[in-house]
Amino acid sequence: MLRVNELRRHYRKFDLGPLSLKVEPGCAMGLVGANGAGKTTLFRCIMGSVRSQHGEVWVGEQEATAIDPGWRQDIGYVGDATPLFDGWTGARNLGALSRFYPNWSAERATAMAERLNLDLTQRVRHYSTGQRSKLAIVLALSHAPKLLLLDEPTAGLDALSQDVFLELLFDAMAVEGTALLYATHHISEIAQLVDRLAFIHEGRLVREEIKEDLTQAWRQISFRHEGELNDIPHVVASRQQSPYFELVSDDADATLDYLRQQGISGCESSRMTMERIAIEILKRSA
Amino acid sequence: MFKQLLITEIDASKTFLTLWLLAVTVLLLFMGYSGSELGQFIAASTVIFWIMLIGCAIVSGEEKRLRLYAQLPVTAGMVFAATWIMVICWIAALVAAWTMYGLLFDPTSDISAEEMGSQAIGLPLLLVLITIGFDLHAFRPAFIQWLYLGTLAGLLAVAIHRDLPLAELQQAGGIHIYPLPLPGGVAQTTALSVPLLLGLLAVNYYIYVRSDHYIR
Repeated sequence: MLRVNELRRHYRKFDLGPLSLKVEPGCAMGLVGANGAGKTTLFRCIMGSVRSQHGEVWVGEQEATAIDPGWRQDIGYVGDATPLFDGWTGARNLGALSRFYPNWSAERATAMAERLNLDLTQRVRHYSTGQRSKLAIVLALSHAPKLLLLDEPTAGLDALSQDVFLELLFDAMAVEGTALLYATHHISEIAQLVDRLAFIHEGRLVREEIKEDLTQAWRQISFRHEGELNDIPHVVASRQQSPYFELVSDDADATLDYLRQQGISGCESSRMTMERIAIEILKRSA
Repeated sequence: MFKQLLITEIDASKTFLTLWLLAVTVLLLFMGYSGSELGQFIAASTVIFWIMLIGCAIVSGEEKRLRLYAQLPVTAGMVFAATWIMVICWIAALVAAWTMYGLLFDPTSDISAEEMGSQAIGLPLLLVLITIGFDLHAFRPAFIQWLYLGTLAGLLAVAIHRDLPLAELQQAGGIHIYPLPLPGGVAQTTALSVPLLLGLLAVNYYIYVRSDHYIR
């Protein structure tokens, strides 16, 4: 559904790319990176709101070019700060923007606003950050897009609304087969939603993994051992307070095999949260 | 999609456009019944035109609007065209008011239709010069924008210093075209300013579609 090939954008103090990624139809990819890693720049380059200097973007079978912006009809975008007509009510904003999307459903928009508990009769300038986010979400989802680009979409949303938002995303994926690329630095909010995770650091994708593979492979291993242990394979972090060892491995099976070969028994291996795994990956990238 | 964009643009500036028409009508009646000359009305209405246009750009959040359009299935060229169509609507209302004033309150005025047309062309000419300055924001190095705007302000200052009031219609050497007076009579000035306006619009378009102000 989305193909990004060798995308590059140069700024004086920051370079995005070369960066390539692919989101298959119906798939959900999480894009994880620290502040300033290039997530928003990547989204803007995909949307064409910032010019890329090299590379190409394909949305479905259509190349995302400036000449024929029809591909934008297939996209629902929630940016870091979605611009709206501040002097208009939420309903008027929805009405005006619905003109641009032939697949727009006013019923769907109203139903989503109700589920998100969003008052559409208020002027947008009186909305809180969370309410603006809700309106941006309704705007992005009301035309049944084939691809959702979500850049920190839950900014300002309360826990209940975040939950409803995730339900809406699950519904869109299940009913419409919507693909999504979801950027966040709070990985816990997408842990259940995404199939794949891409990690971005200083403008480059440093790792792309299937989520299940990550949660299977990454483990925290603890054991008791007298003496030193060096060069344990696949260990990405370790803490030693003799005789106790605590390791983080990105391939727990290989690490445990090695430890067994060293005659170490009684190893305890525990699952790690996605948040923890992401932090370790980003730490290593830095 | 252009039609939808244009409807949205009209919708976005509807309030200001109505206010503008109201202000011009009030001014027309007030100045007309107080016996002012057409030249004075043109000067006063032009000042109000600038105030309303700038106010509209600020209140409707010009930059935000462009960022919003950047997410919609429209091209930068469409946005550019829709924006200028709206400007033409504003100017058309102004010229209509001038004509009406001339017909109703100052039929013996020595200001000809050509002169009014020439004056009307001066408005978008200055507007496009300013717009180019703002759109240059997207280009590096940043001093290009400041150099451009500084030069424009300098030229304007020179024009004022040489006692060429910005809203005055007739000058000794010909019609006053913003921001600088052009030599010659009405015909020469108009002949010069029309291609100049078209050329500047082309330059503005070139800059606009290649800039990064959240649209390409």
